[in-house]
Amino acid sequence: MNERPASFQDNESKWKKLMNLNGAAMFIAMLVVIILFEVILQITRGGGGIKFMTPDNIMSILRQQVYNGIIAFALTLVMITGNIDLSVGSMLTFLCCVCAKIMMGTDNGLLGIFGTIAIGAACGLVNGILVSYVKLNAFITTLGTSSIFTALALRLSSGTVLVIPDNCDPLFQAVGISSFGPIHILIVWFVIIAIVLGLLLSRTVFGQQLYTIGSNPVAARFSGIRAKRNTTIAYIITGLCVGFAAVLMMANVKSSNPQAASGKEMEIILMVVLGGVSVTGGKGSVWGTIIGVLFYGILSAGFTQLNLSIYLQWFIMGIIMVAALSMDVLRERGVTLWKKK
Amino acid sequence: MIGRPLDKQYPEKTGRSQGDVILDVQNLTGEKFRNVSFQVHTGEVLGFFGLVGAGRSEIMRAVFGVDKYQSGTVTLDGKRLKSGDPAAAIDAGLGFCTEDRKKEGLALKLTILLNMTLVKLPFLSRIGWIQKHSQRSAADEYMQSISIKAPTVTQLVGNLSGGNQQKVVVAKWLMMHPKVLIVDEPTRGIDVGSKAEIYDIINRLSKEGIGIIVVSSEIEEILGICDSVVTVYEGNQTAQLDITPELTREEVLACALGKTKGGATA
Repeated sequence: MNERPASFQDNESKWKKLMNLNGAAMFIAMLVVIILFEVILQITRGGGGIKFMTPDNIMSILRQQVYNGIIAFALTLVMITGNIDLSVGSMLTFLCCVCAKIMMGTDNGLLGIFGTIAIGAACGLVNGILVSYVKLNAFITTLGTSSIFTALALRLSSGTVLVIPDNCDPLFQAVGISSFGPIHILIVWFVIIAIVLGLLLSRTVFGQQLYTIGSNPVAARFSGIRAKRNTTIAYIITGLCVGFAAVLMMANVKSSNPQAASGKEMEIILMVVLGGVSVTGGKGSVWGTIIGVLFYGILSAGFTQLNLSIYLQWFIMGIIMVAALSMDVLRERGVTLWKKK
Repeated sequence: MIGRPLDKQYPEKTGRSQGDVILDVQNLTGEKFRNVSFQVHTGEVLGFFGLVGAGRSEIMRAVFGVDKYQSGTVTLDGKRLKSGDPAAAIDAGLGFCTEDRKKEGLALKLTILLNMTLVKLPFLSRIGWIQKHSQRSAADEYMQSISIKAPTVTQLVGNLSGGNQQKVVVAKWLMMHPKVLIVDEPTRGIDVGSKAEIYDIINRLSKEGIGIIVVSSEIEEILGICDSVVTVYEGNQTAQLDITPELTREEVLACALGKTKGGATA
């Protein structure tokens, strides 16, 4: 039965995973969109040269999406277990305030960085315990913690914009603003976290157990998997990543606005779903989410370049979200129909 | 049709020898059962027979730790198994092939590779990092040895036939080399050929000294492959009988329907 050598079988499955129907479709859709934007811009602006995918544009797209991307990678882990975290937007706002407060108060880079990340982990722990141990519904619960984080942000900042002075601790600045030649450190962090979380999901016992928990939590329990603990860890990782994103954001932007309307969590969830993660759990990967992040970034940048109004942008993003979720559900149902044979 | 004479449906029980007590359950009481006590020896195939709903699966789930029990003790190879901890039971050497493989035994959207190596995974890794080649060769080995029919181990388990799905579940536990393996309705909904293969596996395991508990509603199956049988009626243990050529199915059925009888009790 196993006539082919093992190495060949491995490559075959690796490619199958990369180019699985959803991944390939996403990739092609992305190329189509890029070409579409390019064509429209050529028509509307005239003149020579590539208008859309210029090196500057590409760098700018990546830089803009780094904060969202880092959070999206962590959210992938949570969504693969079949759960969700709607509090990431307000968590980010809250942790930005935390970071600002620490830096304004102590001007200690290490404290600012690790303190923020630690508090992020604590926020994740709260979500994790409520969802896994108290067994509350993830959707409603994280909606609730979202309000709590917003309230904490307002309380911490007394409702005002917090500003970190430009001459703050150089270490703190270095973490967020250095460059290695043309490559900004934000992109380096983006890649590092993508690889770390991607490998965590695909190559560790913990990661494979997350897939099992999402696919069949009962079978996971019967196999001795500690589902409650693993799910909580996934939420803690999300908190850590939101904390880190907050640090990077504060190092770059240096001001936090607790009143800023969120909707960020919807963007991030859209990225994860576009990347092929099924809302019901058990399917997807960080590698897919990378494509989701890029796709979203391209759409967002394209809309901006076309000077579309913000309302139209939200409208289109909303349609894309509904379409992506519908495709996901239909795909799941497709598998069920098949099994009934 | 299955390539063997039909009257040889069950493998020969010769060559089995029973050793010491490996699993000792005393006065186990839970929501759906009371005061269940039995012992399994190494190499013994112990049947659990009763009507559907008698509480046999509930007893096994409590022994394995998936459900909590209210009182009593479970001891595996000298180690006390606390209530409600399946991971600890697995560590101690217990395995459980459940009744409903689709709901409780397999993640249908995931691959054969992952489903089969799911419990063994920590042992195929170094500090949590999976050794892919070890994982792959373990799966390939069992694919061959219990002849699971699928093109590759990366096939989704949901696409397999019932018999092959059951074999994946069995392989998952065989890989762990358990000291005691519980199989709950192992041949329900499976074709005749795969049934025979599973009986062979059970026979092989008992010869290797593994204790096996077979929960079944088929009296013929129990008489065919088990060394002794515990009957359960409405959550109560009614009898424990050695399976000898003299034992009739009427006696066993009577016990399963409530009549108690002394036998080799714990």
